[in-house]
Amino acid sequence: MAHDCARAACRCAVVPPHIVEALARSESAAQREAAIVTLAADASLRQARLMAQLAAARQDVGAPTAEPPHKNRQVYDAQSGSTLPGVPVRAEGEAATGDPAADEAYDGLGATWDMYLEVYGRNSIDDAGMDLIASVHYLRDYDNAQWNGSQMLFGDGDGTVFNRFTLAVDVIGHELTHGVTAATANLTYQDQPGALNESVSDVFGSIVKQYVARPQQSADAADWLIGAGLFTPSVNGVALRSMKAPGTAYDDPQLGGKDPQPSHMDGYVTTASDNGGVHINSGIPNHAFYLAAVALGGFAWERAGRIWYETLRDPQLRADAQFADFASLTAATATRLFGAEAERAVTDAWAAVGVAVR
Amino acid sequence: MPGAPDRIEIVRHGGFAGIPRRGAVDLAGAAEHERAAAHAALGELRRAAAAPPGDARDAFTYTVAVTEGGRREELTVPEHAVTDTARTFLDRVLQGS
Repeated sequence: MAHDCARAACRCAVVPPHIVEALARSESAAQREAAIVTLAADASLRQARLMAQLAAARQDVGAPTAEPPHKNRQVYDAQSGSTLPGVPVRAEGEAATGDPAADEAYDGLGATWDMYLEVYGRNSIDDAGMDLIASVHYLRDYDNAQWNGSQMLFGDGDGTVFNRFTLAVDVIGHELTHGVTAATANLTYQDQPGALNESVSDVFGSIVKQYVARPQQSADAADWLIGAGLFTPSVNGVALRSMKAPGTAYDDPQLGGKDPQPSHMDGYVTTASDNGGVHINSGIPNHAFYLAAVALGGFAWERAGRIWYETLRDPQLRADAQFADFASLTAATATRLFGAEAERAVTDAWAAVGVAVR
Repeated sequence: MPGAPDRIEIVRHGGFAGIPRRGAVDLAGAAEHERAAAHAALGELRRAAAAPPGDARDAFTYTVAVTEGGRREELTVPEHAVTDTARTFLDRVLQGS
């Protein structure tokens, strides 16, 4: 069987793919069948070749140094301006600065780096030891935190509605995870793949929070809130998002009303804003992860998190993946890692939010 | 003043919170220096609107709708391309002051 596959794949390597594809649409049943087998073999061969290349590349990165991974954090103060990165205030190993924003950023970067290494064996954002750079006090009254493509930026908040964004460790984990996603599946930041990109950041941001909590929090004990503590007491709200109950995190006229996140495809929001509502529709895959994590039990990073992480790294996950594509891959990953029972839990979780696993 | 807009409406969307914020300014009867400042900021925002979207995540995007002599123009501006001058203008309009 393996021999036949290899021979089919060899044949395909010399026959241009568009011809094989045309044969696959041929009127002759025999020709059609042969072409389809060839296409399937070619696809799996390409997959295997890609996997081998990736494995070799990882060994190349690891082999010459053979040193254990070590984290290298660099925290800067943008001094309320836009010039980046700003003034260096705390490098790796240096003592606390006494500035809460700088020290929270330093600690949050460390917590995220530790979680990725200790739980998933990942050596920093790019899995190749990348330095972690953050600038705090970015701009004046800046109500945001972002990953700008190469480093993190944290605002102090306006003080009326928002506190400083370093207060919540899950926000730091969220931003760094954007770097992880960029280095892996690189999900397109628009519509469903964009909402998946956002959701993956909430998932691992939340996991960082549960992982560094003392005692550590199991899936059924965690609050599953994103950005708890970011609102000032003037706001009627507990956090920016809730993975456990999307749509319930806040309700306040200062924020334009109620948390708009749906927890089911029935509530999927079609909008031109925010890259197709990536921070709104992320509620759907967020809730699926929550349901899977609770059903699988224990700590969320052990099984549900492992399934999502391996799915994110899977070369089969395309940059333009829709919810159903991602869901189907998580189910396949669950089977591969933990067996049929885990696959059932993951499939049920997606079904509960209106996404059918294929 | 020729080339100065009558009204500018701004929506800031995206960001970690994903909560939109809106503001508008009427310039038809405004003082000359305000109209001049808006004109200058708009020049920078038009240039910024031409910038590629970039690979930032959780950054803001600004939608700037300009009405001038009955014509309406809409700009989409990624945060990374906004200059300090333009940002000061955007913040002032969003704060309604």
